[in-house]
Amino acid sequence: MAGRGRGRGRGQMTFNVEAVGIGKGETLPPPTLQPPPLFPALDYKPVPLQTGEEVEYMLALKQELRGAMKSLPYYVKPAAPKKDIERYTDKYQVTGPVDNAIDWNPDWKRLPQELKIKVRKQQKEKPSVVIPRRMKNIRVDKEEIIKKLEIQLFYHQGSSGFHFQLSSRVSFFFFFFLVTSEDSGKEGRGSSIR
Amino acid sequence: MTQAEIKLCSLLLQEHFGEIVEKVGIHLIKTGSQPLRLIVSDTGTPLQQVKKALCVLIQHNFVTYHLHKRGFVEYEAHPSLVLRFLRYPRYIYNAKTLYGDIGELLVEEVLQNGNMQMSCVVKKVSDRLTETMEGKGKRRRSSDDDTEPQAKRKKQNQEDGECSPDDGVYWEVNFERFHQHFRDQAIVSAVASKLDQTSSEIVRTMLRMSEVTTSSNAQYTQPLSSNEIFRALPSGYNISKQVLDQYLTLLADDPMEFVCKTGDSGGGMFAINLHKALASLARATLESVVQERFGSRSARIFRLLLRKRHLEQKQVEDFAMIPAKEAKDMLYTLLSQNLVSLQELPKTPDHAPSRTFYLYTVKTLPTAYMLLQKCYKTIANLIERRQFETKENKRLLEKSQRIEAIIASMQATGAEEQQLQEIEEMITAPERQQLEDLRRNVNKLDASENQVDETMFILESYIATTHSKA
Repeated sequence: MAGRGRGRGRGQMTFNVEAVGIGKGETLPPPTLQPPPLFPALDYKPVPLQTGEEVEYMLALKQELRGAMKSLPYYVKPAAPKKDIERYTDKYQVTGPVDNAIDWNPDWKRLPQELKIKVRKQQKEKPSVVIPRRMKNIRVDKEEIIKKLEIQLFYHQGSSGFHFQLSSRVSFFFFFFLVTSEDSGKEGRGSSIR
Repeated sequence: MTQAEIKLCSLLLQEHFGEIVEKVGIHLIKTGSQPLRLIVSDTGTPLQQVKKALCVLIQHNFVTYHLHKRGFVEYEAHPSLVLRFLRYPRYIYNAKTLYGDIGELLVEEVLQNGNMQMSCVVKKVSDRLTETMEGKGKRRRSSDDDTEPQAKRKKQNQEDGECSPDDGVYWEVNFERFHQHFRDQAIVSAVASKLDQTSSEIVRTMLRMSEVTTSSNAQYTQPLSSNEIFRALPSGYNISKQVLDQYLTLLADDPMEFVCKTGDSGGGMFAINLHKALASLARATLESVVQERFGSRSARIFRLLLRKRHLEQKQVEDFAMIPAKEAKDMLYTLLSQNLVSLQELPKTPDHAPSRTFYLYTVKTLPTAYMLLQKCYKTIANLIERRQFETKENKRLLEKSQRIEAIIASMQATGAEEQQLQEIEEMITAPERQQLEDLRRNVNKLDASENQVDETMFILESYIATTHSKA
């Protein structure tokens, strides 16, 4: 029963072939043995694109929009990949988002609480952050230095105490000047990093 | 969601928001509503990144959240809104034609940011305007003259905010209203091309009058009396009442059936049949697709089947006046592409093949749906090709950008003509040619995307009205 019809009466179908329109003895197209080609040949070439002011303007709008979206804070850049070796440029170039904060300020009342993330505050100028600390350090240093100098003065008190005092004042000022210029030098370097 | 839609959404999200947002968004589209921890575990991205992505997606209204009855929050994505991305340039351009440059900038700002507070939008737009107008001094305008009902829709909560006076009131673009406008435009241009300018003006007047009275999914506009239409015609048109009546009768009798007469009071009540209008537009799109792909004779067979609904093989040959062999060939090609389907009509209860009728027919709704999926695939292909082309020439693009930057900085500091020329020569002639080719190809691909989107809009509107009718 399973083998009936095989070999005999090849090409018989379950329905009346004439009804669909294939006449008797007509050659059917060859059977398809492979998937259709990836770029089939086009019999009819496509109609050319529309042109005109409107079309040009919308094209420009589209490209502008694409470019603008890339620079908006909504574009979430992938996290910086883990580096294998510490590279020289890492000291001077900021690669990728530094922390898990977002740059825009959504209205947290309209988002579920579980999504709350830190919002990256506007970066202040680095030197202004750096200087107070360094000033404090230096002031502390200065205090120590002044103390040391006075201790030295005590030791070397003598007839030339007054001169020493003057010269110590001068050296103190000189030292102070050196210190501040060093500080501003550092400040200069800090601002060039930014 | 079909595969084609998902692929297109993935490409759009990746292009505009980056890969993390794309991963999270596609996962939500594929799996429906999910809570936060499931998203994190399934996509394998760290929690912070997922949170960032969700914030962005919710801001742009692609994802909404709701409280599950078990007490956790579930997030759900809406892919149809992601697909709207393709239409953003059209929205912006229409805002420009309707409301000028300021409207254009407003819509652009709101589209880029999802939803914003009015004070924010106004400030940004005024900043941009002052930038371009170089100190014409447009201060913070009150956008009262720009709060058209078309472009904005208010959000419900009105809470007392911290600093800005309108905190808690967010504005977003009303896409439905824009779509109504596009639909009206399509109908008016169809009437203009079939009949003439005056009748299209009449139809435009009727549509304008029913803008606010009909909802977006309505089948018919509200009936309008001929007297009302006469009064509402634009002042440039000096046609007499009689001529208007004649035009209206002509429109109502037209086989297109866009306008139908619903009564006789007030000089004749007329309504526009929106569903039929969209159906004919979709049908015309299908016919033109068949014509461009398979030739005008296949298109004749297709139109014949649309007209006569069900036909046998023999009848098709006779009515179309095409020799039997060719007609058969064309029918089978259309059948293999699923544009035409077979309907079996048995004569006897035992469906014997020799005793059944086999009728060819065109089913418009499934065919429109299939064509829509093909459009999605087309746009996905276009985007991929454009990205491929840009990636191939990345090195060259970067080089040209750097050189432009150098030239600009040198011009700012005042350089000699010769130095500028030397730098420009750093790009060789074949490289310049390559850049020019790249630019032309990318423009072509972008323009094709815009055009396919127009077809998509008509098909989507047709499917939407048919679903809401059924």
